[in-house]
Amino acid sequence: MKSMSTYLRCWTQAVGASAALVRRDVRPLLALVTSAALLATLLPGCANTSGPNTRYEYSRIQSRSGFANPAQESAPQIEVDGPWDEVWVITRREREGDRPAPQDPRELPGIGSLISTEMDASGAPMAAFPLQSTDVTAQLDGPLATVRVAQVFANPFVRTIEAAYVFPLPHDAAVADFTMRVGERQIRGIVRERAEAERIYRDARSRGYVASLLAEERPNIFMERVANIEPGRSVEVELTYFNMLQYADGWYEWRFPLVVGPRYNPPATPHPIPALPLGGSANEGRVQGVEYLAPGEGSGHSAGIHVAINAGVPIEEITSTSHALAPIERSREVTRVRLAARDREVNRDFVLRYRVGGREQRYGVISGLGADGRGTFAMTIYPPVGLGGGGRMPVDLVFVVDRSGSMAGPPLEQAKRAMSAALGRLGPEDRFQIVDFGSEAAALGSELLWASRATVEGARRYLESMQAGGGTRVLSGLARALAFPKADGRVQYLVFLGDGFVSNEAEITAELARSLGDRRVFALGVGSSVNWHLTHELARVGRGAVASIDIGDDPTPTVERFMDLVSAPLMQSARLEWSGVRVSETWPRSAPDLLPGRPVTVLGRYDSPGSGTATIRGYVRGATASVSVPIALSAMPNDGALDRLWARAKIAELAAEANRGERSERSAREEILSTAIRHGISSPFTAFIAVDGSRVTQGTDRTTIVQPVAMPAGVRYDTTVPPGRGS
Amino acid sequence: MPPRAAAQQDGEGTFALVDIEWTWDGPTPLAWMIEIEVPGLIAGVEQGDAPFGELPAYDSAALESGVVRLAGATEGTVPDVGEGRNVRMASVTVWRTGSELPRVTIAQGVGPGGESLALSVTCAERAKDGPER
Repeated sequence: MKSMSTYLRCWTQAVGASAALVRRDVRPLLALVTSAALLATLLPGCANTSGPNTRYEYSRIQSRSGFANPAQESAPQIEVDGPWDEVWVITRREREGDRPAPQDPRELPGIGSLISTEMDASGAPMAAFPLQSTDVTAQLDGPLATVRVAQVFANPFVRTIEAAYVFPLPHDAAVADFTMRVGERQIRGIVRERAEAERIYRDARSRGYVASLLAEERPNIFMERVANIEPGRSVEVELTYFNMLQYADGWYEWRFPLVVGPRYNPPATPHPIPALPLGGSANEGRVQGVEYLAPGEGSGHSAGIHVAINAGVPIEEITSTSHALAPIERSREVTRVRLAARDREVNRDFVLRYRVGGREQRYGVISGLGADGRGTFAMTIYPPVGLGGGGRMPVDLVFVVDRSGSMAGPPLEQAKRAMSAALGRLGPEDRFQIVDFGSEAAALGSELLWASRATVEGARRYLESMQAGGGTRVLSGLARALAFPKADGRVQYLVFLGDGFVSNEAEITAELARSLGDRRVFALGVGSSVNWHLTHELARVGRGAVASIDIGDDPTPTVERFMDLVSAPLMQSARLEWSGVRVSETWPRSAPDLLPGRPVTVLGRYDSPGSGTATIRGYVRGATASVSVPIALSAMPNDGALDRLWARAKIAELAAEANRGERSERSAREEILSTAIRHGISSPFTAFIAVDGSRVTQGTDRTTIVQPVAMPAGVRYDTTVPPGRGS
Repeated sequence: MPPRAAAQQDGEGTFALVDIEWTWDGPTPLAWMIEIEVPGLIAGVEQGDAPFGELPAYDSAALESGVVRLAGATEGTVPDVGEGRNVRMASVTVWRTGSELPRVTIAQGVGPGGESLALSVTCAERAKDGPER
């Protein structure tokens, strides 16, 4: 860590320089001076103050002889070579005052009805819960998402309450800011070691202060508590996170999960997440479970979503596969998307997909310096579809399909359709097998079958007879699938299909890492609210890829792309080399294999700006091959988002290493904790705490109300939520 | 600087809201940064009065070594409150075991011309509107 004097010098010089530039009317830098976000830029680890209300200029430039950013005439010229050179530039621009007003949650009544155990002043049962609304505002700058999530908790009861809410975020979200608004006052939360934050929260709650706690239960599941909400009052909490957009087959995808699906907890699972009926937490004596609304019930919670896209290039097509959109607003720089109406079901991921124009993407680099003089970069390489040339390769596919209770109905039917379509694409040189699991695993047969009309028809009959039910013993299915030996010289894929509704993700991925050998994994998330943490971990450990099939989708196009992918040559045993630039601490630690059309992103640090080349070398069909891209590491300041994303990637890798037994849990814990605190982000071992110390609330009752959530669209309540207690 | 003492058991700590005040003595800083020694742990940061209306940032990296470092920017200039009068820059909620007040160790600003400003900053505990339970 730099000394204080170094900080001060750096800070003063930077602010002074910015002030000088203001006098020269360099408008994009004006916001640097007038926004406290500058301080987050200059102080590594400062709590983030940027958010969707802070706008960026985003440019993706492809040029043979350098570029000039039309929005920033005074920007330095960066020389790049070659027809495919591409530089991504993100700079902060001044505020536009365009924070969209939240859609009025009162514009329509909530759905359903619900009788809670609380009574109003007249003794009548109340039909309300604390969480009134969620408003999501996302700013998508090229591949980078900055997302603000505001939740309003109100107390319609006659006693002071504590609200508890379990909710999802993307699996790669780096939560970097947490604030609480009480009346006109806004309080920034502090990131602390989790046990310490929880202790502060308990003390604040018992002493009568309004307080909020945000803790990570899984990388994609968070628990929020708000203490001492007085009758008739409300508290707004807001978090900001960063993550990277998914990109596949020419489309960017931004996904925001709105509900946690009901998890199955195998016996002895550490830190289970029980699926509970309404009021089940009280029966269980714990509130970390998720309470689900039964069919016909509603909580009054609604969600609004606003997205501003600055793609840097024209957006040729934009669609949501999950929600109806209001008319899209397009301007020269920004495309704005919002829901046609507030989501009052809040029971599925919001999925926004868009295709950009311009030439085929090959790579992109975002970089910038922090206050300590060190830089952070994110480099994404888009392997060409024809990566290895040549024809189709024969494959061995072992479908591993979840037929547990949560898959009953539309999800399992979609999985069957997907498998049937994949079977139809197999040729006589391919082999396959089907493993299905609920509480126990079963299989179509005892050995891999050569694909023929007869075997495929037999497989389809097997699929037709498959019934959903029982628990989600993924490990049983995995063990059965791994019993099929992998033949030398052939590529074997395990193709997982399911919703991933389990809480033993770490156990599953650890076992997969131990047993997989040189097989690969393709994870098809099936359903409206898939556990993307598990599916992405399966694909990462299995050096494969992820795709999604929602309950309303036609699975055929996804399956066809998947079949093209698994049967195409890929680059194996890849390693990443750098020339002309000095980089360090790259995550993932080792280069992933390259799959055609599937981008890989590497985050790392650098000490000196400059330009050079990044090369991934490996083997395609046994012959050496490489992909090289130029890389420019910027001398411009970064706003903190990249630092947080880098830290998040590091934490994920450390956790995975500990899970695989490559690092002690204690060592991983210490480094994760230190990384999370230093960069001010959430982690398994940190939490955000915010206390309003200005006043002590009235009343002494502290009833905890667990916010119930909707069952994900397409998932049956009766097959997933045990009556009266958690699963 | 060693980490400050903190309560180790539930119920040991008490909460105090501490106002951080700048004694008006010159040009309003364009941006500011302070370091404070806190007898406990901070559990929230709040914005000050105009022109310190933006929510300050804190340096989470510094927290690791027990240092509370806050920074912010101003919007406009301080109304003419009279030299020597105090303007609240920020407030922090402190979780502590005693009654000791935080102490400002470094306070620096940047003036409109980019010049460095030494700021006179003090801490004052705000009275609550009711007793703790």
